[in-house]
Amino acid sequence: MQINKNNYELFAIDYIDGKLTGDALRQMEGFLAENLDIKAELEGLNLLVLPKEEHIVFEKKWAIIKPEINPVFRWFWPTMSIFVILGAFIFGFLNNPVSENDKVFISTEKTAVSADFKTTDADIHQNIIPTKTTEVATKQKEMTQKIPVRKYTTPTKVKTTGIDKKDSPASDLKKPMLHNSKTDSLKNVLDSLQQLNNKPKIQLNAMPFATVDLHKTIIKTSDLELNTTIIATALSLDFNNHESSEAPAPKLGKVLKTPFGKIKFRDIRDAFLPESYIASTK
Amino acid sequence: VTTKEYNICVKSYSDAVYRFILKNIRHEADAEDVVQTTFERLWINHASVNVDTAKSYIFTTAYRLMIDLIRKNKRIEYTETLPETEIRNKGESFELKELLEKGLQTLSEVQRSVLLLRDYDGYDYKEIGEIVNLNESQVKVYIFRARQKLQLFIKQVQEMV
Repeated sequence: MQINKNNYELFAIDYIDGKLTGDALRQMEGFLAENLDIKAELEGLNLLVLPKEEHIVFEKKWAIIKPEINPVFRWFWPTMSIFVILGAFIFGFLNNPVSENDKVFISTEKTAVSADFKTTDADIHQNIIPTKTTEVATKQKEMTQKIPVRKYTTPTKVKTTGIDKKDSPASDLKKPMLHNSKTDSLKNVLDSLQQLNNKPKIQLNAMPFATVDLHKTIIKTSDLELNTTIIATALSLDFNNHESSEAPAPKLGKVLKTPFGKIKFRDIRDAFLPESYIASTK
Repeated sequence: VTTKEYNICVKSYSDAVYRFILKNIRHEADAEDVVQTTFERLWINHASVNVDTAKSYIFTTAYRLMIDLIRKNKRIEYTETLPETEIRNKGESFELKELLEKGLQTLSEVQRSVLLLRDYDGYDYKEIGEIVNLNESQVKVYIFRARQKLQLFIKQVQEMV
């Protein structure tokens, strides 16, 4: 391309910057030699550079800066929240592993007490209520007097037998010595259950008018009743065959006050009665 | 552009783009608005903007916002004629820096922009062309004419003084 007055501006900047080379440079030098006025214009243009005014700064950077979250910490708070929730749950579980009603106590006393019931095959056939000896009755009466009485809440669910997790040397000191869960064996418990289950009819001291079928026996306790409650679950009531009751047979749904709280007869299948309250007559 | 890269862009280019806009429109509040809007757009599109082209994106966006602002407000009307009356009335001597500042105001919008991009920010002609939407040759001619005009302005002022 021939450099002339119409196009020299295209090459002028490169010439000023010293970037024209080869044929273009020779053509530009030839053109400027012929046009001294233009050559004079170009002189000094390379020195005409705007000064950088770095003192002018954008003061509002803070308004457009975005918060940076380190990828490592991006999941920190969500993770911590999960740990806190899990920790609280585990802490609560360890401090209250089983509700009071669900605590199960293994007792050796059951065997002895159960053995006091003397039921013969004839009794069973004649529907005679089993009884217990005077000695045992006296013993149980003493036990009842010593033991603080508390109200039972009617459990809605029966748990399987196990060892009370709260058993410890310290807690043992507070317990009467009649039962020691640490020395109980599962075999004794099973024997006790078997013997008690073999009693077809049991009279309740608190309810002389009621006879309870022991279709199922559960050994259960809570903190206050560790030494007192060998528990029988009555699955049904039999008022018809009881002759000695002075009190009228309660109607369905009637509430009976016992040291273990109010028991509605319709709910008695779920009530847990202490062994000392289980009596019988010959 | 990640958040971190975005913040690096803010720290690296916000001053330069602010100077570039301020020198063009000579209005601080508007210049700040343009810069903020520019970086807002960068943030909105940060997922699609490559970090290598972020600087060009910023200046291009800022330049277009500035052009829109000028055309919208008509606040700044630069003339290519020398404001002779103002200078003559002052009758004072100018340092080169001040002369260039005054001379800059005599340039056309495009001339001023390409010259500022070249001298302030060191862009090459091709990059400047991408920002102001011109080809490389056009940019060279605009810059040459801008320098010629500045030189002429300075000569005229010196002759008057």
